[in-house]
Amino acid sequence: MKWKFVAVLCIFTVLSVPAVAKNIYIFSPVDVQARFFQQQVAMACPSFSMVVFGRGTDFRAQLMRSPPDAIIAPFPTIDRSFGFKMIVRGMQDGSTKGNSLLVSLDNVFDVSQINNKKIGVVDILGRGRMNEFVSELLQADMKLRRVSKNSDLLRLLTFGLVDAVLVSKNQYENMKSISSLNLVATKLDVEVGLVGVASANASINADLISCIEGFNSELNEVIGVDQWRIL
Amino acid sequence: MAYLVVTLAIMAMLNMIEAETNQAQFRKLVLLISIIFSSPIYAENNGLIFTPEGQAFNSVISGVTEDLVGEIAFKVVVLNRSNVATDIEKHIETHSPKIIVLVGNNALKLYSQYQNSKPNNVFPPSVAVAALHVDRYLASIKNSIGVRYEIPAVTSIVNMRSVISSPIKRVGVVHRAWMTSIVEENSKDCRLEGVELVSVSIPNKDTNLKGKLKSALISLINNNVDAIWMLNDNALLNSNMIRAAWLPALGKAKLPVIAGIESIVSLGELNLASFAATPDHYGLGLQAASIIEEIMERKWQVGSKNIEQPISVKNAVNTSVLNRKEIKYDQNKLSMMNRVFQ
Repeated sequence: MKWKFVAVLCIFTVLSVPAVAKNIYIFSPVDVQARFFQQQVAMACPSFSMVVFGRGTDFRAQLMRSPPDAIIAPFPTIDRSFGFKMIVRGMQDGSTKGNSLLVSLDNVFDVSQINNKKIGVVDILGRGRMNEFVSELLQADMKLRRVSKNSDLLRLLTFGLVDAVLVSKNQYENMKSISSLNLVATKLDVEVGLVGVASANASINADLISCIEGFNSELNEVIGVDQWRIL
Repeated sequence: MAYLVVTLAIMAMLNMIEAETNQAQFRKLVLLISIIFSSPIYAENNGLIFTPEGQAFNSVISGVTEDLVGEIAFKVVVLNRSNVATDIEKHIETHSPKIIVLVGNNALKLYSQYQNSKPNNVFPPSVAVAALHVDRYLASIKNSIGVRYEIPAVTSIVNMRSVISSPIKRVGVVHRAWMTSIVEENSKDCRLEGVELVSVSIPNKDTNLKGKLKSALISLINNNVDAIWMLNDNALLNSNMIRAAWLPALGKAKLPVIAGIESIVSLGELNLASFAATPDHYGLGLQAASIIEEIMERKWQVGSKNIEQPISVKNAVNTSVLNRKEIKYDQNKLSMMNRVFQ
């Protein structure tokens, strides 16, 4: 009788331990507000605790303070985050990479003269790393003006604070949709990896992949992809 | 602190080494270590931030300090109404900053007084941020640069235009005469975006200022403007003027009205402003950090004294005001707004 009581007590204890949702951090410096984005992903992935960061500094600080089980972030950010293994890559038009453009006002940007020019970028890596990344990408030494969100890039051009801004095709299309400025895009012969999903906890991979594959087209559009490739 | 610990450790090590090494070798070792530790790579850049208290200003400071961590060690000094210019002087003498950040109008005013009291001094570069009418102050502050606090019309209008369905080609603004040059500058930027700023100037002072304001607003409505931009001018934007001029003129008009203060938009029952663009304080701090980075690259030179427009803003919209005024908008774009009031 006594052992039955102990067994029931043990079973009850195990069942009453609350299930801890796995943490997923999403870093996405898009124009959609983080709180709205968070609502959408939480609905799509109810078994995970999803936290969306609009600002790179907040994302990097929290990543160090309390590492999550997985991250969804731009490829260059994941590439420089330790302890995470890429499991899914976002794609657009069949590619996991996107072309980069330099957008300037009124005139085509002369790429051969890029050294020492001021270029605006959305900061996804922090000051030092962003400078290194863009220098390496464009094989040039330019002065970067970093902003924390896409919509700020337009204002860098409006107020003449930069000579051009470095953007993806999507970002350029968004800028054109809201501005009447004469925005001229110069296509560069460089590509940057799109958003990816990277995990630090293999036990969640199957459920996470299933959740990502369930993102609807509106959510994918916000993230900047049209489909996902499982690695 | 880390530097102090390392130094003490090295001194202890040197004591041990001295006991076992001959004098000549020991002197060479001390000389080598002195040269290494006097090298610029170990010099810490000091910065001073003068600021009032307040959450908004704390966000500015976070934007500055987080971006420059590892480059500049900032000391933050909170100022209040009882501080005087000699307090500024004491902190500068104590900390010998390479760069000074002036947050808010009081810091600017006191720093200006401090500079005026030392006409022969050479001052470190300074960056002014989150202060109203910063242009006026910086004209007389040496070796300084800044970011305006007032949101430019073009920023507010483009952001509002992205939400509103109908075309926004002509935007009306009423201003007192002293703001004419500011409105003209805003007008140039708006023209680049295909927007005409239709302005009506009223006297700086008048015994019937509310009557003048109300007439000016009505004239803009009759002139078929597509929207109204409210300037942040205390004389025209206070509860008395709202009751006596703004509401009677615009209350029934089916026009989007852009405010520079979120509280006017949040009060939907006022049925006045439907959109607001306000400073993003953290973004202002980041912008100041970018300016400081450029100053560092120029070896602590300010360079040209071009005061920058603020880049980052926060947007708010009131959909119940839009609905009551039958102003159509794109629901999908509401997710881009920082605040949506209903």
